[in-house]
Amino acid sequence: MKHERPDNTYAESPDDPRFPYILTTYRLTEHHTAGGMSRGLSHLAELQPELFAEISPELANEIGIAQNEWVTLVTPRGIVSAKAMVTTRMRPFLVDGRVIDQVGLPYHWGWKGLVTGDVETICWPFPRSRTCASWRRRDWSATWCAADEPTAKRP
Amino acid sequence: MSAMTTPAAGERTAFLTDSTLCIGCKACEVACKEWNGIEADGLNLTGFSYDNTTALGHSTWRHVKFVEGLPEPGVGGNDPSMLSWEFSSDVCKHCEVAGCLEACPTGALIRTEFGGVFLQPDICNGCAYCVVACPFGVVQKNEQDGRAFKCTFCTDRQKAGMEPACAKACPTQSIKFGVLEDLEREADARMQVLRDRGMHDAMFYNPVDTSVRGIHAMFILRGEPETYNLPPKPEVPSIYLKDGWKSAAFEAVAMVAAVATSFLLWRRSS
Repeated sequence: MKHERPDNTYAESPDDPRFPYILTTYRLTEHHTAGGMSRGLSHLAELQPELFAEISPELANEIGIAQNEWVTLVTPRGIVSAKAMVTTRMRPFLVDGRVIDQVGLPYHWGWKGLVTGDVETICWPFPRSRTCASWRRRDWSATWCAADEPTAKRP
Repeated sequence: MSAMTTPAAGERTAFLTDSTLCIGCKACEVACKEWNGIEADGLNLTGFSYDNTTALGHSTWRHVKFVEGLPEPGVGGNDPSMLSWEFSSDVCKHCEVAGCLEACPTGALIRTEFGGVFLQPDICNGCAYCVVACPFGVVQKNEQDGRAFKCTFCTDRQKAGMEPACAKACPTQSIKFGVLEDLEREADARMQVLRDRGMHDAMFYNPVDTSVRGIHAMFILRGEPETYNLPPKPEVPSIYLKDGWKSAAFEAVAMVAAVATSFLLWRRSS
């Protein structure tokens, strides 16, 4: 158990077998920061209505995910569900001769508004690239979460 | 007005949408909806890249297309192997010869003094003849409301001496608005600049050689127009009228001849 980051002792670094992929986060043009001020505006909400996770076609093949299918993302800190956006724009890294896949997760969603989705910051304390993420198919996540719906859909 | 001169009386105005400048921000979509008070048309993730509005319709009069493609020099960032991601803002073409205008039986669709095609909502009866007549698939009927709607060319703003909302909102001046002839000249100059930069797949989309006789919303695109869901040779449906009448006349003559023949044969036999 090697910890190169003393401030993050929840996962081995590098090469934690539980978390093989890189997770990165970013803005979209259509929403504003955490989305509280843009998710309630219909003209912005319709432009980006749901949380999605961008994955490369290679990773999608590997885990057996198709476009628009639900995926669950797990980090040492939290779990979110999102729809998969399979795109060639997301490219795997070649690090020390190994291919490491990257997944992208915009951070604009929350529980309230015209459009809702899981809150991305469950996965880590603040927006940044993290080396700890793993993917499971939606149907396997039943062993982790009792609910069938994404955690964000609260009344 | 986007560096173009204010149109004099009788001068036709137009759009020039330069897709090489478009950043896919969708400000044009939002500005159009805000100005015209159009509702949002569905909160569904389509999965078609970042395009969740999918097409022009009764509640989308500006639509930004997102085209992910093979690596192209100049559109994938610094890495020449990066996939290209093109954006283009689609709109009603306000055709010189408009299929919708020709098809409208009530006279709801009219040509404005600015050269655009305007659908008067208080006259429209919802027959949707315009919907099938448009060679670009722009007009759509709102089933709840009953009437058809499309881009108004911001005729209300133009009457007040302003440019359309989309052109005003566009942060990169990708949507240029001005007098038609000025924009054609500007498009020529821009095409030369792009060719000098080595962008040999840049093309100017203004189908003057078809029955549409030219559009008032011209485009500068990279690659084929089909990539952006634009027909390379759009035609107005009225080009089939002559053939239609000819076959109708032929059928009428043939029918009369057949009836006459059978009558004469019956007379002969009885």
